[in-house]
Amino acid sequence: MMAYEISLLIVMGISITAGLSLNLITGFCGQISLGHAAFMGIGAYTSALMTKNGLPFFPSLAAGMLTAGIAGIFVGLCSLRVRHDFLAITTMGVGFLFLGIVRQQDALGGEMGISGIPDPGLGRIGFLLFVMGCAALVVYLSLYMKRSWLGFAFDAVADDEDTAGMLGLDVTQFKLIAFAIGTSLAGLAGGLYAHNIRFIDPDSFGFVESITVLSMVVIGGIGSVWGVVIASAVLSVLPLWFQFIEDYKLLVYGLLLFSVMRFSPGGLSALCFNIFSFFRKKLT
Amino acid sequence: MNHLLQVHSATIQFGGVKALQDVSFHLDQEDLLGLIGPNGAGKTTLMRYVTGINDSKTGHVELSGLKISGLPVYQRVKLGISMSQQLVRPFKSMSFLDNVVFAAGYHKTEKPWKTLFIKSRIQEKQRALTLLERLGIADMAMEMPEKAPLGYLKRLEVARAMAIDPKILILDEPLAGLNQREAEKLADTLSQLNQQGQSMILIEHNLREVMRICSRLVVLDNGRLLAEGSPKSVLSQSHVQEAYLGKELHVNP
Repeated sequence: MMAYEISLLIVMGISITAGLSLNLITGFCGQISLGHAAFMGIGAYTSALMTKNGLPFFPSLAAGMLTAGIAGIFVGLCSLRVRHDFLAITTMGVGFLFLGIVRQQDALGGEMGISGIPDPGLGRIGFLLFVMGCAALVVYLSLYMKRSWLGFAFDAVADDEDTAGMLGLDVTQFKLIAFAIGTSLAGLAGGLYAHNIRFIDPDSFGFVESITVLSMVVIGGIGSVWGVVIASAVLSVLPLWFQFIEDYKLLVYGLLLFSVMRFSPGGLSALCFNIFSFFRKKLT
Repeated sequence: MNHLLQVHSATIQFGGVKALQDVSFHLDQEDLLGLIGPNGAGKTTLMRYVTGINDSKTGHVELSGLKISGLPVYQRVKLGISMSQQLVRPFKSMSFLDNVVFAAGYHKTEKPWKTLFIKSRIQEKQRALTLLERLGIADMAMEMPEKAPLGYLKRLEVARAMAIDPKILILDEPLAGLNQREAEKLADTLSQLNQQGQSMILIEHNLREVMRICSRLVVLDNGRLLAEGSPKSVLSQSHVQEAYLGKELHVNP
């Protein structure tokens, strides 16, 4: 396999992990987040600093997940009282807060970021296999979760949290679980990203990145595991194939987001489902 | 002796409007209490006070002698208070059956972290189907609530409220939206359920059915307790008739 294709596949795998991690929070549990890149950033910075200081790759990656997850629970706790649009604004604020802190810390490399992050030492193909393995595990976890009572409870919370409470559900706890799992997986994606590019700076985890991840979820179909997998895979490599998409990323993704919300609010998965049932009706 | 449910002088104010003023009442084991009164009398507010959706600083609620005011809604539900809503709120992404299955699985969702490792829904499906049949909406089990008629959604609310095996079942206008035959049938079902030992509070405008099945009535008007007692004695009181029917009728009954 060519080095270029390997790189593309690695980027895809990381994006799928990131997309699905947000899908757990926004798709499954119905809690919108416009600051998801911050949690990827926390995972990335934590693991990068650790490996740069000579610690092995895997424990560092795990530590990145842990810190991102803890930050996620903290943010979850703080935003329990807000819903919908206000939650969107709060999480957006969290994203900017993260950037603001990182930019000012010399220990975190400030504006210059962290360069020279060590190679994980798996070889390119080994790293690709590891990234794909992580993505596959997250796909499996998502599919499994959907069929468990946790996914069932998430459905109820996403649908109508007041009614869920009226049926005795401890909505708070379920939201925190969604935040904890989703943000720690974002930390995983961030750690993988840092050790793939081997350079990170605050802009790698800015608002544009948060919107990019959200586009993947919305375009794929909020809550649909395979829809998000496909959207993440395609949207992550498009900017690498077409320079103008990279240049006009926010414009292109914004336009895509808008068209999906306007014409197929259920995303690609709903679109496919509708086309499929349309043809099935024609045939019968 | 402790009553099953005791509300002590509940007062609730929304801005300048006093929705409830110093209302006290009680519910005994195996009662079927009818809560009646004109629109805007505060019936729903009173029940939302019991479940904890609306809380007030004055007064308190006791369940079997245990003070439950101040607890969040879901904890009161776990202690055995279940309420079906007047404005139906089904989970729109779930079929009729799944709506009730989810409610019936209340013991499975008790420990949130453990829910990741529980998958089986067989028992809950059985229970949900039984409830849907009992309420006469089993034919809709696999349908989504979006397009369902109001009469079905009302009964879905009741089924869901019953599915969590409450000590006290509070139903907010379950008969509204049903035709007379359906209403009668549902009232019969509720009456049967009550005879099997289910304590219930019924908010209802259909006085015919209320008179037929309730063992006691509480009448609210303008946020105040107007009367309390057996259905016949309550409805024969002149000020109750006034509140309900207006003054003219009192002159010429």
